Amino acid sequence: MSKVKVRQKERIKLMKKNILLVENVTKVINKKSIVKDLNFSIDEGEILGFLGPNGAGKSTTLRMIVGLSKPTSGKIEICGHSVTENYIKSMSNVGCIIEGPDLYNYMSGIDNLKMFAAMSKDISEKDIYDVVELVGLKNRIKDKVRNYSLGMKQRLGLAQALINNPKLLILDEPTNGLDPSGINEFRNLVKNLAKERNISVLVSSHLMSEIELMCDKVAIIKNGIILKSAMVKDLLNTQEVFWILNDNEKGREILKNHWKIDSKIVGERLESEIDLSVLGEINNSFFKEGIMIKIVNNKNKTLEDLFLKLTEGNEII
Amino acid sequence: MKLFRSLSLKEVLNLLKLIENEVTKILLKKKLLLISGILLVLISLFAYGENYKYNNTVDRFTKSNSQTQSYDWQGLVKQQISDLKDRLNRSDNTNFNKNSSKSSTGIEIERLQYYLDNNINPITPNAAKFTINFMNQSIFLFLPLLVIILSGDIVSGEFSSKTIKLLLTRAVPRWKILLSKYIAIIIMTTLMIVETAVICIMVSTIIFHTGGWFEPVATGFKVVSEKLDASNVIKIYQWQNAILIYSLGWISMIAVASISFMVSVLVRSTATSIGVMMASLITGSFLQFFLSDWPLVKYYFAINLNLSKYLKGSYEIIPGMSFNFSIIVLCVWICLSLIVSFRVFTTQDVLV
Repeated sequence: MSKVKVRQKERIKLMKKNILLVENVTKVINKKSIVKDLNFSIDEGEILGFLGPNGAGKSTTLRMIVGLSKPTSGKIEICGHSVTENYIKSMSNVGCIIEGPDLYNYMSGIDNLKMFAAMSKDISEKDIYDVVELVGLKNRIKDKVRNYSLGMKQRLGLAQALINNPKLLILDEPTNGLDPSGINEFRNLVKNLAKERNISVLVSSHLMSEIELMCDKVAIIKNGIILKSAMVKDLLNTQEVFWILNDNEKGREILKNHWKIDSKIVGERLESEIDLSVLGEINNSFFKEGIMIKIVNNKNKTLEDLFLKLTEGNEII
Repeated sequence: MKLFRSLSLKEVLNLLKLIENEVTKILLKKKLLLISGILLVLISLFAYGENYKYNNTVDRFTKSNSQTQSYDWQGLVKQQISDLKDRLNRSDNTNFNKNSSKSSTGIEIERLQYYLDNNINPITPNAAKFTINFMNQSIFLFLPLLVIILSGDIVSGEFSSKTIKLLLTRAVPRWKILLSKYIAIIIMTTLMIVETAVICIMVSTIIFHTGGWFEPVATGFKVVSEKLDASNVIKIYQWQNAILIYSLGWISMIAVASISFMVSVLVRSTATSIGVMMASLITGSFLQFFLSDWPLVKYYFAINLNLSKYLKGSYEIIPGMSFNFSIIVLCVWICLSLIVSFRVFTTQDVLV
């Protein structure tokens, strides 16, 4: 009995920490599973990147999270409130941009924001202007949206997502069509929000570099399945090292005999997976055996390599 | 109890804000302005045309009767009155006519007497006649078209501009958003009817110079077992008649707005929505002319729009139709439209 209670308490604790919880979510459209048994969660202040090729099910998942479509089965909770059962409470914690900032073109930016503010509770005029200031649209906010550039629309899109002071921000391909400096600015803005306001962010993108620079965690998704989910740091910091020695064959033997480490020769490189802290000692042992080290380097992987490796084969199922 | 009351008050305020949003959207799209423009141009043309026709008729009449300088309408009206009085007396004696038609004949005499007393030529167009006539003429196609312009894109427009996802990701239930949209188009439709009346009155008063608002008319005819029943006929003034006819027009337009609202929920683009509605309106006049024998036709909404024709006692087009029948048919259409709209809108997946 008490064990159950303790477990329940632990669960409640866990749920409080989890801003977003997606459990066993499946979506079937026209008898085709678009999303299959998806599981992931986001903690407070964390930025999760959702990476996948076109048609992987990213948008479908995000739509289910913000309540635009219903999951066929499974559970989605935002701040502990189920999206399907307690729509109002869960939605009051969410701000989102789904597939581009589509706003009312015939209204000014500020009119757009005021309208969305009126749909949430207790938002003062000052709050609206604070958000405008935050996204850097102060000078053009009274212009009609149809006269905005794409970058300005993205900013306004972000402003409408932030207007209800959300705990979870959902951005679907937010930097589509932005120029490099715009992307950079947008990224910094989102990062600051996560850090200063402790907002959790879920970003979907098919741009690797963007995810790499913006996110703490990344989930790589293809055909509705999460292929890999890990911290970006861990994914990128690999333990693979390569040497270029004057005698690779001898080096390989030393590694095998002294260090009990397997290695292989690829072209003129000797490659191996080692604990980086002993790299110095290994190098030292090479010296002692009279091997010249021309180059030693950490074999840096990029997210792009990983992504391409994981999502090999481009056929759409 | 107190908490409950304040809560519901909050809910109402919340809904009011949503309605305000929707009305603002319609206004900012400048649709009301467009409609006002169309109404002003069309009504002015009609009024001018009617005035021209009248002057022409008078001209021709004076030319053909060269002996009298101005043609003698007073004599004509006096003749009509004595004819009617004769008929009334005869029916008293022979008890040939039904008692009921007596009252309508009485009102007709009163109406003609009013022309004589006030020295008004009965064929002279006046503001009241024009205003009422305009509503009766435009209720089949013209006003419904304007309603469609107002309401055809209320939901589908949000889908074509993809702004629907901004609306449906707020902490507001979907039914509330849809309700606010419906109330907004009801408000706009009402405004449009009022505007039609105001423009009609203004333009016709300027062009015809005469009001005629206190002319007595007979109303309240009924169709019972395919015969005209005049037992409930009452005398009202033209201004009352105008209010009555515009109110009935309002009911018809609410029906059109509701159906257009449903179509707007069901289809994804504004063009389709407006196209479907126009087609169904035109189908209505088609059915009326070519398939009036087919009993199912009378359940079609577009055929039941002209509610005031029953009260005037004019000939009914399809057997089995009456004032009550039409009102019920329209109400059923409104209810069905709303049920379908709310069902579809609250359950569908938004994939734009």
